[in-house]
Amino acid sequence: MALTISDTPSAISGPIGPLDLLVIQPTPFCNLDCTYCYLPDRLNKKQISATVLDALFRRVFESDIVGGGFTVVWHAGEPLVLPPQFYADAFETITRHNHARVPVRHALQTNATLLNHAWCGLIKQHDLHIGVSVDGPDFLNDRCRTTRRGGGTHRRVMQGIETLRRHHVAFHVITVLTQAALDYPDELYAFYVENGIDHVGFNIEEIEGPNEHSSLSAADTDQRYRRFMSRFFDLVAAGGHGLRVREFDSTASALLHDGTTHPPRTHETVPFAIISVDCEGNFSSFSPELLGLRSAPYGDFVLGNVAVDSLAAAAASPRFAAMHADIAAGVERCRRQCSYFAFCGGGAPVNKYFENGSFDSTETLFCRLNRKALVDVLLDKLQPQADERRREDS
Amino acid sequence: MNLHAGFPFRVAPRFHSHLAWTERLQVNSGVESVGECFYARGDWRAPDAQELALLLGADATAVWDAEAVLPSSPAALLTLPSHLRAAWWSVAEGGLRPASVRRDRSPLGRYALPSPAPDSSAAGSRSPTASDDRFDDFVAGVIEFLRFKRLPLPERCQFDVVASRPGQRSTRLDPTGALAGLRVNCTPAASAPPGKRLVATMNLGDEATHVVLLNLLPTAIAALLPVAERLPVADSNALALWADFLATVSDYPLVRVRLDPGDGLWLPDGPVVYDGDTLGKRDIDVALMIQTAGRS
Repeated sequence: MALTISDTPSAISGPIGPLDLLVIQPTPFCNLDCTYCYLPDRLNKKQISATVLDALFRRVFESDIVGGGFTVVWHAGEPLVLPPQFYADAFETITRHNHARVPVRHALQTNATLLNHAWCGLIKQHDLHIGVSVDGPDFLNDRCRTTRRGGGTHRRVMQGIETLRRHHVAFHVITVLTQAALDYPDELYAFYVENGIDHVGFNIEEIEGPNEHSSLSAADTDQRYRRFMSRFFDLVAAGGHGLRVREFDSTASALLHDGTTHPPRTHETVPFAIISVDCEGNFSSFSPELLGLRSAPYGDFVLGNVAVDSLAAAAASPRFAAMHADIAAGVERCRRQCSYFAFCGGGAPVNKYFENGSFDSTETLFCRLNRKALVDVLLDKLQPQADERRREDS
Repeated sequence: MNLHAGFPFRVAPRFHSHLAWTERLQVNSGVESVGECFYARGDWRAPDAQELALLLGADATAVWDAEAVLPSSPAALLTLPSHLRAAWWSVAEGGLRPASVRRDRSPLGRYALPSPAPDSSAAGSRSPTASDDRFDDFVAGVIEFLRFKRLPLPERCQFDVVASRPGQRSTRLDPTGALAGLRVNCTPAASAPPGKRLVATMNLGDEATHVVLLNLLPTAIAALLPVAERLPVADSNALALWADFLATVSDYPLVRVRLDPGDGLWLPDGPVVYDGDTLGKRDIDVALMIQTAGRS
């Protein structure tokens, strides 16, 4: 199910949605102060109100962009600084508005430092998907994932992970790769294996908002990133521990679709496939990181507020039209210029804007590493296997 | 005699030490000689600030840049990740059978597992048995790891795993199997097999172990000898020089480096006097030794 925009310029006509990801900021506050964080308002202890949540889910379920289900990610601040009861109440609100009983999955991306027995009870009761942010062993994690006093956080994170394990709560891990981390694939692999972590995603330190510089901007990063991923792939392949790596899975998936006819849609370029909502009810679309940042052409990227604006009204707004047109133009530019487009689909708007100054642009650090380098590395790894199988089959 | 500045101790580029140097390094009051052998005295203590500065050198706090390669001068600390150490124990559990263990004649019971090939290339080349296959795989994994870290592996090198009993004040053996004490880490170029040199040692065991070093290379050793004792510092004399030094300057402090499980020490280029020490250990000491493989 998808809403078609009929009253916007022809350049951006086309379907919007369906909604895949609803990113809700329960609070901008975070009890940590990671050096690479893109959130500008991490000291603000404001929290989303029951009224805003009620309006949000009324707006979502009354719209026609809800298809076969979606995931709510509670993020953009440390979600566990609010009490478990907050979420129990929020889930009731969702159920109250979800008349069609559309499947709604919930995910919490947390730094794990506040996990305890009560949280694990809630997580299990509601089958929440838990992502833990940890950058590997202490000497890597504590370089950037720090307290406001600059102290390390690793010990507390590992206590949180131990709590999850004690309660048999499944979780995945997100590790941010900085320049320093690229020298330590074996140490990262050992860390995951030793701690029973079987699913990991590697984010790269990105240039977004307040994080105006990335350690990965260095000239030699591309080569070092490739070496890291190649080594990590070999470790995973040889290790027999069943470690799943999001980047390998997604890149292999893109390659296996051979990329000639149906480039994978990146949800960040599809209007209203992702909706992000801040704790005051302001919402935006496209890259979740946009909400809360500022720009000259699009202001604060806010498309509306759930208290007064429907999603359809937001989709008809001039700001949305401008953002959508520029993002679509950037995707088209990628389609024309980039030989990797078939495996990517047009990149991440937030990176384009904050690296290149425009949505209507192409290559970014993110796509050089997370798309192009990964495609090359996996092709190098998988092509010999495919050739071998072909020989065996013939 | 007081400690002098010699080769510095460093954490190798692209490695991390979980221990501070103050927790890792100890010094003593020199050697005691038994016959022609020299053993480290057991009065180990933490180095004072001045000694620590001498051991770490002027650039102790310098951070390697991303592309740094290991210079030839320092003794460099490295750490083998746990999955590689586990791979060794998998080999050991499958292959550490009496038939595959060469017991030395030493009554102290030191024994050494045969290496995959007495003179194997870095890539590993000979796999005559299933046990050797597993050992080759383990060695190949270590080589890949060290190459990723850009450590200067010799073109041809030999990997041996050496096990020693706990409670020994030395881990080196003479040809008769007796504890040999401190010895230089290389064989003379004219010997057979020629020109072997210990490049690195790594602790594969589950308990901390120690490497004992004289922190001086031949030129520095010669400079500290009384004039009458000095030999020209040439490769051919380097192997004799250290014995003269230890006999003459027996109170020169030795350095003991703590190696926790997985930790290793990459030795500086050139002849280095070293020994092991399993005093205070409860478990068997298991060390992976990487040597240059001389061409015969």
